[in-house]
Amino acid sequence: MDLTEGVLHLFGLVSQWNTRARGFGLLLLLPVVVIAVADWRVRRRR
Amino acid sequence: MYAGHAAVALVLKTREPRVPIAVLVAACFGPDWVELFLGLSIGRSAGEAYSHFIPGVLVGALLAATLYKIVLRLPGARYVALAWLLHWPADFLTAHKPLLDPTHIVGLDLYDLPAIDFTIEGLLVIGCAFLYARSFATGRAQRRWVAAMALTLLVIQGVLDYGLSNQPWRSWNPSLAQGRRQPHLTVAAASPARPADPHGSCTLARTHSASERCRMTDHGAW
Repeated sequence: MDLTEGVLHLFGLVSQWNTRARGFGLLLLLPVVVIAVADWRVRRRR
Repeated sequence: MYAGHAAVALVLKTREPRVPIAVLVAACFGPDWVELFLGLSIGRSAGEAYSHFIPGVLVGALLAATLYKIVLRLPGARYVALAWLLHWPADFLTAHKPLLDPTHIVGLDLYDLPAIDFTIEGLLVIGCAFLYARSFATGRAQRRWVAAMALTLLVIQGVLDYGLSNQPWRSWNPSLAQGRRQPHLTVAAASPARPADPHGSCTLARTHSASERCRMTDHGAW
């Protein structure tokens, strides 16, 4: 059980954490990570 | 919309640099995050409806801004709310989203025209990245990072649109109104005894010409 499943288990939602939900969650996280890293690199050099 | 939402965060960052960019990006995808977690608890369809109908978006924006203000104690809460609110009009372009009634969905459905969707979102990413670079990327190395970010977003969007283009069962179905039969007022008002159904299908026509053809074939109804 990974960290995400562990948290969801607390709320009784782990049975719904299927492939689609994982994929959707990953898609939502990707732009946050991409832009946060780029913004950090850009503004660090100022 | 996908990369387009992220692009909006870049522009909002230029307006209020004190808001952390990760917060802005997350807020731009806010209703999608709510859809994910609501979907886990009340089902996928209900999650999508209640996260994206206009009252839900308004409540989400207010809660997000309030949470930002209380937890992070930084200025710019209204930009967090704005990022959340801008999600709905962006999604209107690419999909079908509910209005005031969760069951009444409207939208231009450009996800079913993947090439056009990629063009629009690509232009949005490039334009917003340019504005971001103009504000923050003064040196060459910084501009390279902005370009790499924009390119990464475009690649991800391209992969998504390629996947959409390989779903031949999907068809473009833009909608600005509820798709249900409704008699013309002239028919219902002029002849109450006359059944309203015969020309109810005219109101389902997607194009004005179909309605005109209907009028031309049954002069008695008009």
